[in-house]
Amino acid sequence: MKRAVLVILLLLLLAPSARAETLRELLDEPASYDGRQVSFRGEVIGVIIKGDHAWVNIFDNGSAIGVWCRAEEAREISFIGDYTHRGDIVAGTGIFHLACAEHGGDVDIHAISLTVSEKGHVIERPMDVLLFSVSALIALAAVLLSFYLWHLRKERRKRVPWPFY
Amino acid sequence: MWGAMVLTPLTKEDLRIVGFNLSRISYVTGFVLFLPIIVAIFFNEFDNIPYFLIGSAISFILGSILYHFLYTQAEMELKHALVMAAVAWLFAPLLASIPIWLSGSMASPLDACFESISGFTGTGLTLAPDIDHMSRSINFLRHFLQFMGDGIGIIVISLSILGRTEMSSVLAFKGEAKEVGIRPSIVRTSRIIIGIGVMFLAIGTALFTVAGIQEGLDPGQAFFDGLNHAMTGYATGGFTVHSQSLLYYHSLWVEVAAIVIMIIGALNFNLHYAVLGGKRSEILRNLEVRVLLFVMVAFGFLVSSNLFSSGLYPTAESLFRKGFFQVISAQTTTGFQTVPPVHLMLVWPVFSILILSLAMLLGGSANSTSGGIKMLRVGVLFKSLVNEIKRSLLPRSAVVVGSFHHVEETPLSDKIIRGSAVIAMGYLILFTMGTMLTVLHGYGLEDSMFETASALGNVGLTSGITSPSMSPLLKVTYMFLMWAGKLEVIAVFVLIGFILLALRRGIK
Repeated sequence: MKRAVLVILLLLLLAPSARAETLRELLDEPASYDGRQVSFRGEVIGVIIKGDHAWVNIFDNGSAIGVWCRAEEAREISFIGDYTHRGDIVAGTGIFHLACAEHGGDVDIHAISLTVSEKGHVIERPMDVLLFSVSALIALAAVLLSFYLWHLRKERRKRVPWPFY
Repeated sequence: MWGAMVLTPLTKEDLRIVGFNLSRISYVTGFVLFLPIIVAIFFNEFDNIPYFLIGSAISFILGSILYHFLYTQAEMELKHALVMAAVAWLFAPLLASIPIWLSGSMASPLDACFESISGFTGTGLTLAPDIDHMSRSINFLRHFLQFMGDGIGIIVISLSILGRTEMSSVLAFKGEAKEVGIRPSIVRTSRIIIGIGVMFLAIGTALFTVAGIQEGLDPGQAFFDGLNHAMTGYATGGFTVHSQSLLYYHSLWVEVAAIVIMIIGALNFNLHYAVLGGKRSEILRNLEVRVLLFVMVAFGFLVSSNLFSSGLYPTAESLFRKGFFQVISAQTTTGFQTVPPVHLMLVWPVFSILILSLAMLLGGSANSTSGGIKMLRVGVLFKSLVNEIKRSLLPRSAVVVGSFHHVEETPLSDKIIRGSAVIAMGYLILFTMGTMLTVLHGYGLEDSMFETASALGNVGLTSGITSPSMSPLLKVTYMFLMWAGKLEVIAVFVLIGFILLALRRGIK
């Protein structure tokens, strides 16, 4: 019985299902994944709805790729990552294309499934009051210094006329 | 001529003239760093405001100090203009790197300087580790630096608007490797250059915005991205607001808009003026335009054929959007990419990479926003080669006279040929040195040639070598190449001569 369970587990592990790859792996070894089913996971950094389909650009550890999925899957996404938002984390499976014939040779993934696995959130970016005060003081100093030096020049011109060239 | 100028003993007045004119660069940089505050307010990025305030204020303080303490009425000579240009292209980026570094967008002050030099010189190589999460105001600054630095020409604008005399401005044009020739008045010329820049910025923004909306972007994002890409497209700079570059949009129409604005940016200002003034036939008669279009189409076919034969891109659309697009981006020295950087090195055939490297080295038009050796010089050198062949085939008594059409009919004189050859040779020397240094860091030859050509030609296409993890020595090397490439080499040698002279003979 134990042996049978072990064999089943081994078979499950070796089964030709979608492998879990990082985006970096996909982009660094594109030829070995081209046309194959892969699994993906990354933060959403862009959603472009085009009719009944959509491009969902995902980002993970410095690498980014476009995922072509159904529009209703893309509409489930609540947050797109930018300076003030942590984007939703999406995961799914799809077919990786090194040069997609359908999309003008783009490197992409055609999603078989795409789900939001982790909701994004707003990133609070409060202003540093001390830094703002320092910057305002420096700005004020710049204005005062410019004015003072301009005034000095004006006075000097009054006293000693510049020679005529 | 250069030797005679450099050997003249340096005086304190020389340094005063250079320093005094730098004050104007400082003022304009202060203004450039102040403008993103509007973007920060619009997008509620109030935490970014102090960075711009500090950068801008420091620029104004430095400008005021230089203006006051180095005030001089002495007229600028060509040597001052060349040295001033060489120093200004380091001075202004150094100031602009302050807010970039303070914002924490870059890993180190050196990376912030790299980003800033890449911006001002219109290169587009980036060390930003996460562009997608960068604040919009800092991102806007990166693009605005390219538009002001390379698209319009910050030095020319500083001196012709804030400057006192026509002569100093004429010389500033020369120092910044631009020729004067649109109109007799330099102030009017500058206004025309600004006008042309703003007009194409508006056209480019409209094209990108419409293409973005048509592809499904929301109008706000389409406009913001469009404005930034129009700035860097016209400046043939190549910074983008997304880490995927233009691949983010997966759109033929966005790429077409980019092609239009890149080619416009790579054309000579004089040509723009002539065509806008009604001389439309100039487009087809101009030697530089003919060479540029011929080389671009020839390289496009070579790369596309190579990609097709390798089986990588089987359809006509993909060959155009990958092969032709990358050639146009390289030739115009823009640097927009529709292929992930790492794929250029891992997937593309070596032949295509070498063609792209050559395109980046040759560059766009003289007196335009593009970098590289420039097509006018390539055309002149090619014509002189043909003349030499003719000369050797004809009897000794025969006289071979050459000319070329560049806004007006110009005789092919030895002086023009020599000038072109010297600059081309300067580029090739720096290209060889840069490639060798990159190879020494353990990168392959074609990768090294590609990245060096990109930095030196102020392009911005990358094979992935340029990254925050790159060695500091290589970062400094590429910063030097970007700077030297922008100045078309000559001003760099004059600055070195200036420094050597000061060290050997002191300052009188």
